[in-house]
Amino acid sequence: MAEQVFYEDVEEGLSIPDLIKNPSKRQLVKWAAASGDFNELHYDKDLATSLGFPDVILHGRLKAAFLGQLITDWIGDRGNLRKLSCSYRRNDLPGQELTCRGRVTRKYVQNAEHIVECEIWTENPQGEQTTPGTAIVVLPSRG
Amino acid sequence: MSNGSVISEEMRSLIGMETGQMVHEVDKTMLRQVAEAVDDPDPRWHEEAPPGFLMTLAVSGVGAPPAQLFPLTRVVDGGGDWEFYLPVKMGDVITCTTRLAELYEREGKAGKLLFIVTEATVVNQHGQPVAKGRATVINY
Repeated sequence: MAEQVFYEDVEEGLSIPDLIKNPSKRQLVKWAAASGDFNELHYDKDLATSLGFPDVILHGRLKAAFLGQLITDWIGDRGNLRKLSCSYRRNDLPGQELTCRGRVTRKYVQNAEHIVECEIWTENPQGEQTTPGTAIVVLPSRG
Repeated sequence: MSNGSVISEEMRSLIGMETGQMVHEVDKTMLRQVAEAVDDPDPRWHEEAPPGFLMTLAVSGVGAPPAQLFPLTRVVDGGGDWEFYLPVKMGDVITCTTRLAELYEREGKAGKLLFIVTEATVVNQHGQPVAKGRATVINY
């Protein structure tokens, strides 16, 4: 894991290190089992194509969980994820690389906590943002 | 029917109502299943729930109002909003309570879209709130 990031290390506009995911159909089935979301759209290609999709699609919440990992990988053991929001704007397909990205939008101290706000998103191979969102984290301070 | 609402009085009367409650005993197997499903190898998740754990809660119909009341049968997930208050650790017993927070409709390209917003509150065995989630599901 990377070294601990501190509040003093970040500034507005800073990019969060990319997290690259390569979700497979097997991973979608694992997520279905772990989450109890057994909507066939995520593992039955016949159903997916009959509904007009090119293949089964990723669960929105799995993409939210990927964005959660993007943040926890970055903020380390001493950082705290407080809030994560995202919307599932475009569908993503298994077998395609999905890049999770983020950028710091604001930092401030409130009630003695060192708070950092970020915009976050997943990006498909075409460079389109498929799951835009935001995150709020608390980082440790060197002060 | 052309400009009729898909939200019936009966559906509207459910807004604010509790729609389900589920107790989860957080054990090693559950944590491993979530971490493996997300493909997140951080050893921290051997003992503690990763953020994705919260995203696995309140599905499997628990958060959903009675399906027979809803006229549109196709479902797609719209988005989510999660707040984390306290870590969830192995051995915790958490209770996830969902309620129907909001119903609204929009005109889509192929007809009506019904937005169903559910809210989940998650409390641990000490009665402490550990997390809150809000999810939007779209019926069409």
